[in-house]
Amino acid sequence: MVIVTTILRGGVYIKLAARLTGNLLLYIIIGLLLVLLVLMPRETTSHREGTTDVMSYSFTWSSYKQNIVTYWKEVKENKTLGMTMYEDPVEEELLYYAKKSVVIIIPAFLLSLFFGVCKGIYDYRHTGGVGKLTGKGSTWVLQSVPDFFFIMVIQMFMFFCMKNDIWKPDIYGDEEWYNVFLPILYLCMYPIAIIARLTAEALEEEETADYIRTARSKGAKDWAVIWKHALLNCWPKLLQHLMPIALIIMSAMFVVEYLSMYRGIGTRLIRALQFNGWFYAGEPMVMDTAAIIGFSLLLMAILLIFQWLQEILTFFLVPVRKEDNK
Amino acid sequence: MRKNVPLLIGICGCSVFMILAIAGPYLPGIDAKLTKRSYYPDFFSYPPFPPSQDFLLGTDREGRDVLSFLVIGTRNTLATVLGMSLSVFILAMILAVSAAHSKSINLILQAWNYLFSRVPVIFMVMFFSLLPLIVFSSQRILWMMGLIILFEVGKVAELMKKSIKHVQASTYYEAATVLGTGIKGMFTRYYWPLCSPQWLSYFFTHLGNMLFLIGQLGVFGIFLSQSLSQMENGAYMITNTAIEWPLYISNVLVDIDGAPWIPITAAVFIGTAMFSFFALSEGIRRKSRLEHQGWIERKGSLLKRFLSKFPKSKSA
Repeated sequence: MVIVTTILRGGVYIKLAARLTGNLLLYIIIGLLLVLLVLMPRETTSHREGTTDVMSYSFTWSSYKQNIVTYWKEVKENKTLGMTMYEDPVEEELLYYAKKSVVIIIPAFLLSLFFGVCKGIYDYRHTGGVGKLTGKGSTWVLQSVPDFFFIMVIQMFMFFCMKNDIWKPDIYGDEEWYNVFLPILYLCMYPIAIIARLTAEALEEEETADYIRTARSKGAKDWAVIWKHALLNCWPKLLQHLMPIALIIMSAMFVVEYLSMYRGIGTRLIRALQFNGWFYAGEPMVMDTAAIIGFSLLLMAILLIFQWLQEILTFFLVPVRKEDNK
Repeated sequence: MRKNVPLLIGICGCSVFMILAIAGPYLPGIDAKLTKRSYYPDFFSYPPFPPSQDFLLGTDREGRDVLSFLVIGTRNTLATVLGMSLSVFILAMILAVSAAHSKSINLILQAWNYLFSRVPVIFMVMFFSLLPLIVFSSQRILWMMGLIILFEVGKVAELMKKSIKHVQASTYYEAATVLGTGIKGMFTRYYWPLCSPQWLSYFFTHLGNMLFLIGQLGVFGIFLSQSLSQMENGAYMITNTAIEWPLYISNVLVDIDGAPWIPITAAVFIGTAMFSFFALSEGIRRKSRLEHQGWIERKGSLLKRFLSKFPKSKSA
């Protein structure tokens, strides 16, 4: 009997392992595609027609192959993904910027989860009268207004304070220890609204379930019904949205870091992608190839970790319901 | 009848933007030519001029009236967004219906989704926008729109497929299958009537999301329609050519202190439009839900709960 259950459980673990490997393969494929795209030849040709340069781009397989072979050789010889435009090995930069970004992403993720669920419960419980505005209304507004608008308004307010000698904080950059707070706040706002909405919806769905009625009929307090009964069954539904929320935070990271001049992965990747901003006719478009490859792969790795987190949490925490099994 | 405030807000907001898009250049106080000025009698400085009586929202760095620019830019901006969302939805609808009926297409859809919906779209667009193939193309805007459509279609199709599958699980659908209804009949008589409110609602959400995306891209100075223009030193630079709202956000790091009226007003325009789209989406969802509940009484529906709270008012 024991052997049978172990084998059965083993089978389940193999399923999990297969899923994790599948995710790994997926991100490796995306990463490879991105690397292959970056390595596309960037030579341009131009000729003059009167006073204008007519530029064109001609793709040749031979130069593409040349690019890939050279890059692969350099990677193998130097044991690094390449040198960035600051003449540093990419790995050094990756470590530096990744630390900076992780410091804001992880707290933002946890805080938005916590406050999102709290806000969701508040929205669920306050649906009439003033609650309409402070509850679902405010969640909905928070969800519908673009984050860059919030950031601009907060920054304008800070500038106003600075100019009038009220308060002089350092709102840009990442030199001071307190510089992380504003980016975290910016990153949180939208996910909080999303999680709040999902929580409120999940709670509403659970409300009519038998076990809730039983709990209520036995005289359980309102908070106990929500926290001890309903919410526990809402976790699986929220867990399904873990990856989309991670994606939201990761895409917001670009704008937030850029607008608050916080030097993390987002700012660095944008800097690398903006390739000098200009180039001469007929010359190849210079790009910070090594940095783009390095940071793109890092981004994929972070996304992979979130995906794995979702798979593992779902595997261990989500009980298979009877109705799902049918 | 219950009030449907979001629907009201959405319809009002969207009609205002519709009017701006259609009649924008002919409205009073709008400078349709977008005259560039390097001086103006009232100011002893170069542009940008702050908001004043002549320029209600100030001017940009080239001396153009900000309000006129934004009003005239409405048409381009909304046309871009609408074009993308419409193409995404038409393609997604075809894909979803085929996937619901054919296993091989379903497999393709899943693979598509798997590949494209697990990476932030904004990163992918930034990444692709700088490929030389797209930079030097004369059809750049089509390329960019095509890319965004490619990344979005899978997600939308998956959602549509889910709602179709929901219909397919019902008994009346089984009856239709037994009667031998083809895909066309299924679509016109079953999928569309049952799913269209949900799809319409999602369409407006998507519209808002697309606007958000081009706004975010604007922050980094990436636009859908760009061209190469020569600078004073002979080098070439990628610059934006179209008159669209995100243009004013692109210089936000400098402008937020020196000329905050430029990025803020553009952000307000984008924000208000997004807000109207989302309101309309929510309103449509609420309307269909209310209608549905008015016809069929479901166990413990929202309406029932609502009515139990106010036993006296039985107007609904």
